[in-house]
Amino acid sequence: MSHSLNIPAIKSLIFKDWFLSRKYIAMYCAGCLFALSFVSLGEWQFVLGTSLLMCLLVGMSNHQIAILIINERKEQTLPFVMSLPITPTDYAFSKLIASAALFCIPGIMVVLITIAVFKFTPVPDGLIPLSVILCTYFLMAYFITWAVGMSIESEGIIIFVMVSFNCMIGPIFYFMGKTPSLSQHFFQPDAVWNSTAIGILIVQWVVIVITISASFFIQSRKKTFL
Amino acid sequence: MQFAIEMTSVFKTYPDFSLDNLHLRLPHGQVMGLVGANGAGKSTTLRLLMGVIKADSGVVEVLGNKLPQGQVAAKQNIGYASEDIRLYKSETLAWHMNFIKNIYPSWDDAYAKDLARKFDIKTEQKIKGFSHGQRVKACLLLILARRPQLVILDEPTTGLDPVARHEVLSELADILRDENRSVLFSSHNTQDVEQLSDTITFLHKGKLLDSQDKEIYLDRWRRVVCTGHIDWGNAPESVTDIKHNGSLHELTIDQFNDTVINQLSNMGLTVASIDRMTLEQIFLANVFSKKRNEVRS
Repeated sequence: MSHSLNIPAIKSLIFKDWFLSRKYIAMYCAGCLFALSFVSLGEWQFVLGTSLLMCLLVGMSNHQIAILIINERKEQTLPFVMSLPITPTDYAFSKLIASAALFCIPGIMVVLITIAVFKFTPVPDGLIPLSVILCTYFLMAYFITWAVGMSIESEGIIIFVMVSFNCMIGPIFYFMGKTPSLSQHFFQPDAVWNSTAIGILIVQWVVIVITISASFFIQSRKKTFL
Repeated sequence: MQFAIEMTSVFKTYPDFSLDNLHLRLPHGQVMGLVGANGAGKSTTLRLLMGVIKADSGVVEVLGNKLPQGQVAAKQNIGYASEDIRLYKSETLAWHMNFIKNIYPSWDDAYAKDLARKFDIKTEQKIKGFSHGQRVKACLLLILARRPQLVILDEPTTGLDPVARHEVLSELADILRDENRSVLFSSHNTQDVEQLSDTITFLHKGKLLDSQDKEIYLDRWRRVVCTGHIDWGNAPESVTDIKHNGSLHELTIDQFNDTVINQLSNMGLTVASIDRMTLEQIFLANVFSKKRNEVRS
């Protein structure tokens, strides 16, 4: 089904999603700033602050998918949206932009503040690559869950995907800690962007691009949208 | 563009249901009532017309746009409400009105306010505080105030109390006066269909049983009570049902005319009364006749 996108309607849908999520996003952002406010105060504060930060990022991503995708089906507002002059591809496009902005804008803000905290406090800068890889992992998990949510109507499967990615956080820490080319630089005063760190980031971004493309492909071939 | 809606040889198959070779035409400015029992295919038909379902084969054209390719252009001029549509319950009706206004340049603010007053709904109230009847009226307000050329309604009066149903039907009757607007609405409430439609279409198990002008349709069917001897073996072809009650026989007749009465008289039957039938009686007769034929074949 080839057609040009209905940009004015897509814009309205994006603003609608922003409006509906605004309170939750503000709460998660406030929580992230609170967590970052004490990470540099000492060892236990660092552990507590980073744990809280990760929980909030995971919570924000899962909560957003629940509001933007799952609830739209569960609360039957999807037929209302699809009665508007849009195609399923327009709908997917508006969801992509709204979701990406809703996750990435607060996410990038958190990453930048985290890097600033590392730069201007005694926390070693060597942890920056680890933090960036981890934040990109959250982004990748978010888009895979988003794509599953857009393509599959089962709430159970979406929750399973969310839980699976959350369970992988521990093993990822373990994997990075056991990879000498990464772990040997963690506590150095400068960030080291070697081929291992860059390679992991490239793989993560390739997965993100493939996931989004696959989701659009599936969306455009669906025979029954409601 | 002669027809607001034109479906030609449309097939859509699901694992446990199929829409079978559907041909449907709604001329401009006409009101068509789509009648059928649950599972007849009414909602599937309406969703095909909204482009949210792709037909397996056949052509679906709405307001001159082929679907699903032309669904954006078509939906600019369609107002669609169905019983399974819900609004965002955490927001007010005014917020929804503003949202729709941004998408449809044809939105009429004055008419929207007038409808809110007629329907007695508060635009500043959150949707979660609305009753079912108020939610239905809010949905109708949102589609009617954009002044669409074609209104598609899927069971618009289901679950409404008598007062809300009367208000909704009155407003629908009002909008139907506009000769440029076409309306297709589905219902299993045949009274509503009889009250509002120009044309009636019966669907049963995914098949179109009949589609005709309401007056011709109602005029074509009769219930004839007579005495004498009759059974399926010697009944005229136009008899679709026979009920025996002692010496009285109640015949349901399709394509009624004087010839049928003459045939009955020639068979030695004495006609006691001839009555027009309601749409509900005709619908039931149609469905049961179809079932009987299925059992026979």
